[in-house]
Amino acid sequence: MPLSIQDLSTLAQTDYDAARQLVLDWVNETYPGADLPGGPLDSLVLQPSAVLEAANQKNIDRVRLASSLQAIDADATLADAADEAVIDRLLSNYRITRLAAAAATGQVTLLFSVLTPVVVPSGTVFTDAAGHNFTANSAYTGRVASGDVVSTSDRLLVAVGDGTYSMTIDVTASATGPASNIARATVVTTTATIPNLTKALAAADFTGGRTQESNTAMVARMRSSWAGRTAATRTGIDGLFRLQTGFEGIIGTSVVGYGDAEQRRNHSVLPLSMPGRVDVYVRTQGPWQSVQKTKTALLVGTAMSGTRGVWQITLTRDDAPIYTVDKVVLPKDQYNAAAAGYAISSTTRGYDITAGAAGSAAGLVFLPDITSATEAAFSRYQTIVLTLVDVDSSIAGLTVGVSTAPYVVFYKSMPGIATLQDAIAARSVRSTMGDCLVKAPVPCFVAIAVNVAHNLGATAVTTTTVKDAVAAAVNALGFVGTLPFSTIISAAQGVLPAGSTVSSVTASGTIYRPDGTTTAVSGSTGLTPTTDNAGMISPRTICFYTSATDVTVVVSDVSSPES
Amino acid sequence: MATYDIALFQPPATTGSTYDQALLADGLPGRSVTGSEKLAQRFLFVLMTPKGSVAYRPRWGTGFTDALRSRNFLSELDLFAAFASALLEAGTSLAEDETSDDPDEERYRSAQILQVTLAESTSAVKILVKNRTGTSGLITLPVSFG
Repeated sequence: MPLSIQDLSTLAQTDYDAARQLVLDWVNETYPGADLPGGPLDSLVLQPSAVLEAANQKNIDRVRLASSLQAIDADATLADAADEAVIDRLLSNYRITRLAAAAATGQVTLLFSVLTPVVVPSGTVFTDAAGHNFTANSAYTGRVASGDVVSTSDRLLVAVGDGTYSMTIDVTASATGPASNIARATVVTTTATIPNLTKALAAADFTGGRTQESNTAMVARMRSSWAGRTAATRTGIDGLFRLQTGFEGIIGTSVVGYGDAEQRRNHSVLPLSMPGRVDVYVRTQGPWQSVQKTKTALLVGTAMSGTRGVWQITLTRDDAPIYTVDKVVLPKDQYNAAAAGYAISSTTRGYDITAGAAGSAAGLVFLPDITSATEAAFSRYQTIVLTLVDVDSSIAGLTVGVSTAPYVVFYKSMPGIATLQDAIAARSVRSTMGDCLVKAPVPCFVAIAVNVAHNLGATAVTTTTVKDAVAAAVNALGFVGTLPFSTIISAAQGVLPAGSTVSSVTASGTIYRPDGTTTAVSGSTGLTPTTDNAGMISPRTICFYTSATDVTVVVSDVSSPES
Repeated sequence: MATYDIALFQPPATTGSTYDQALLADGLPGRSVTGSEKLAQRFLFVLMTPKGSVAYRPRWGTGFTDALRSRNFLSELDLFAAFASALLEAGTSLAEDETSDDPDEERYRSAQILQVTLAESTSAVKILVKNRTGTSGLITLPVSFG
């Protein structure tokens, strides 16, 4: 955005008067015999000179202030008005480089009806229902035998189990921006002719799409660079995280340390609270991450008179953190959105702080002090064991305790926790006085209903736009402690066309606590979870999450009285 | 000490004839004015400048030309009334640009319409402008209305 140039017609009167006096004084000093006010030269020369002088001074002041960190700190709007080049030059002194706009990247799963080699040409474009285009990064060849997979562009066609065969290719969004960060399982279509293609969908949440970093965001990011990027201070931890590649735009961090009531890891053999433990909650992105993983389940029992199996699935620390398990299905149903999944009969939460092998990541070498599953909740050390009954598959010929089978688990997560744990555990930056445990925020999943009053005859309301705006606004919040309904109203109203207004908002939330239980939250003006420090529930630990599918928009037509 | 400005008007060829502009005219461009002629020039300038038309000088000028353009003059009396109203505004505007260091002969004291001549195709207003020394000068202003 270019520097805002002072409009000549909107100068302050005092600025003009001062400039005019300056010009007149100069003329009087230079030409003592000239008395020009009220004459033609005043009208044609002096008056325009005064206007230009006042405008120039205003522009100079703008550039000066935009180059001043103190002024920007005092007035954040200056950063937005400043020339991007001015901010770039200023912040380069602090090793801050503007984040360029980037296109989302991800993988698309292609399903075929026939097991036969297939080629997806380079540049093949896939489009989702919202019109976002994604281009194949290269030509890909689907192979029917693993021995035929020889190049990086070869993909093995795998039987899904429902008569189709799948392979996954890499794609990149055609346009930059966050709108192309589509969710897992989003269906995409292509006009290219690909033989036997029955369906294409996003294999996982797309990531990386963003707009160019604004001046304001850049200045905010710069603040964390003032402090040493180590685990010594809260600002330092935040700066350390933002220094990691791909984490420059994390939503927020919250550090719970010695003296904070939510810190429950101050273990001691004595009945005393000891220092040296820090929990760092970090929201690495706005929405939760939807994860789909194929896991190997162990047959641990029988059900339905011995005809069906009780299966146990372990989500290890490599799958962590895990917010909630949404469903478990057979592989043949993994692309069937209508499949409800099997009822999970038990969920056992645990933790794994086994030291990694030599050469492991720092987070598996320098292990934090964890003594319970609750302490490990939402960290990279979290584990979950699921038990379910597969009411569909016969276990004839299988052996309890020995036989295994694949199942696909869908769960909610927050990406990057393991990476940040490694970053903060690195010897060069970790605290010399204790350990840091990185956790995803305690989630409060919110369902929202927005009622819109629409004047008859006014432009129709596009409910999907409202849903997306509300979800984005909620997911952009960091550790705020309260979700005010004003945030929701403002987001919805901002995208409503003229003639429509938000008439009311209701919302309710469910907190998934570290101990595995849940707590409901409701309110008339906002959602404010009750603090429970012993349960690690507080404004320092909780973040609010929602999605467009959890936002309901009801449009009611109203008749305006005739004027 | 007398002060100078660039001449905006050409002096009338004969007594009682009208002023013409001198900034972009053949023959006398760049002529300077001083004394009572300078005052007369300033008076005419401010009288004929619509009030509020100068950026960042909202009180400078008069409503005289707006009144002329309104074409509401049915008789000389209407013109006298419009001029009387403009006199107050002209005095205020002229005072804005004057300082105590200006020579008295260049400082405004008063003005009055002496004669109005209404005709079908030409009209003229004779204005007497006085400075602080008591000297007066006669300005004949061509006015078109109706």
